Amino acid sequence: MKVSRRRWCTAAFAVALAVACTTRNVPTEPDLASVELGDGMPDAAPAESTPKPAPKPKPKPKAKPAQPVTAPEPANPEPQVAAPEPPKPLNADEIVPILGKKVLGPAGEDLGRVVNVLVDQAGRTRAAVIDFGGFLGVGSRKIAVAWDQLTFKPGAGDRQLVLNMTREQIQGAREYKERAADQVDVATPATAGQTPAAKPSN
Amino acid sequence: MSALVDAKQRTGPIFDRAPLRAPERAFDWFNFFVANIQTGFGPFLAVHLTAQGWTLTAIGFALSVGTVSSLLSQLPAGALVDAARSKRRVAGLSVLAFTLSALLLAISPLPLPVYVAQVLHGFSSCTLGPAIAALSIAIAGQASLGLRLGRNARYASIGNGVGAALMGTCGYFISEQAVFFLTALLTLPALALLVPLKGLDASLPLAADAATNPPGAGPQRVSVLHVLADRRLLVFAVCAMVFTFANAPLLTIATSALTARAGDLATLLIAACIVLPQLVVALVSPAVGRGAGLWGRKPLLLLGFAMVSIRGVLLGMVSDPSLVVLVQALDGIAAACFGVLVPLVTCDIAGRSGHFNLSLGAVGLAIGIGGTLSPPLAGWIADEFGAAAAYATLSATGLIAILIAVTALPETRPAGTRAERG
Repeated sequence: MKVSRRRWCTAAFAVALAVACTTRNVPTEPDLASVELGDGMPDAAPAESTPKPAPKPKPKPKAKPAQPVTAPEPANPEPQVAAPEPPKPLNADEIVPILGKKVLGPAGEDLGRVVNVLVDQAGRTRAAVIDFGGFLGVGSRKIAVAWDQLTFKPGAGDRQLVLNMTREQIQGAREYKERAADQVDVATPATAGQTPAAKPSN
Repeated sequence: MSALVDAKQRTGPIFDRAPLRAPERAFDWFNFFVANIQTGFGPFLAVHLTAQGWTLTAIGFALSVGTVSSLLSQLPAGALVDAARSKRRVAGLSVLAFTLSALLLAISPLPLPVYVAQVLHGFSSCTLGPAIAALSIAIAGQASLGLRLGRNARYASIGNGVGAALMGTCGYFISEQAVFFLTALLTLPALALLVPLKGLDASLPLAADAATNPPGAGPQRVSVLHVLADRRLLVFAVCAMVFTFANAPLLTIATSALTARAGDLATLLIAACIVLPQLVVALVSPAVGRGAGLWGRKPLLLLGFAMVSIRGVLLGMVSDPSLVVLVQALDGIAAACFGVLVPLVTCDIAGRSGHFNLSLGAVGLAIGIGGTLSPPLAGWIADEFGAAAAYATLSATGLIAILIAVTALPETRPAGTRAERG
């Protein structure tokens, strides 16, 4: 029985790895290496996109599981005491890795890429920070847009994130600063008129 | 090859023209392609890494790796180029390092390869710049170096402009990654263009005097410390640093304002802000090279420095996007003056010491420090006190550069019109 559980673990790990690899869009064979490095150097690696989909379930079962009988439930290698509903592996076509993903406007125009996601105390996603505009990396501005203005289309290739705001509605918003102490302006269609495009702070 | 050497010894128009045409033209285009290549390594790297899912912190770190390695490389790279017998080979190896670096960035955008690519690019940029300057001396001789540097700047700026257009298009229609494949591809013509320069290595010591002599060969060889402690070189380096400090953040602040207010046209206008100054450089830099010989270096240096202050003031006043682009075009005048005069003045000061490339590295280090320190500071001022305050600060800094140059920098143009070769 122990053996079979370990087998499930490795199977789950393999699936996790496969999911992690396919959801990253590094083109050719360096995929494997990327996963390894990403784990080793969480700070500098494109880690956010890797661990999210699947690898979570894998480390726990190593520790002594406090579960009585497992055999009947093969698909989940990690029955926790506290969490009644164990996480299932995610299908690649059901999820959207966020970081670095292109954001399109309503008309399909390229607005920029997601560089950060802001969550509140409860872990709810409140805003996505988009690196907006610019040419060859010059002149872009980071702007936080309201999370609920985003629509997600898993499996849509390069068009997975669509924002319900146009360029004109975003452009005048105050730039997002990581070090901003008190307030972060979040752009929504409603705020678009408030910051007159003629008078930005920088 | 010996015809080439002959031609360098005499200044008669017949000798000067015929044999030098081919290498001269090849060198023009070498400058073009090098500038082309360098476009890919600029701020665009951040875009590429963002697309690969890198966090802002990680990108910032990777960019710092590049900055620090190029700062640290300036002096050693300069000394290395001084010691190298064949500057052409140094140039070739540097370009090869660019090829490798671009391929690394394109194929495996993972931390370690990216850091390696950044270090490679940082170091080889520092060897390539001096190598190009040394080859320029070999081609033109010290007396007509200004003209040569003017041509260099012209072709480099055209290369910059074309590179920006090419890579912007490539990034937009294909992918960010493709830009780095394109960059790697563009290193091949650069390498090929070094082949016609083969004869130059032999003519180097003659044309450039002790500047490029193998170690210990020249009678005029001076100790390193003596060269680096030359007051003129120090003052010039400080001027260059202050100028770059004032100049570097202007484009970023101005274009980010364009993004905020110019709507759909913003990207196009920013592209214009990058390409238009290059056109201006292409137009005026040969004149700058000629003028540096006719009127001396200092007036043109001051003209270039003045442009920063003028731009700062004007950018603070205008808000119409198309006017912003026009003001940015003034940067072309500054860039032309600066691009021609940095190697030229350095050659005036240290050209015969045997440490020309090291001296150029020292000035490059000063420029690098100025360019590294100011964008964060100016960005902070813009955030806290508004863009106008940042423009004003940078304008004032430009004035300081002028002040230092006026009061402390002597004219470095060699006296008289006599040929300045041994």
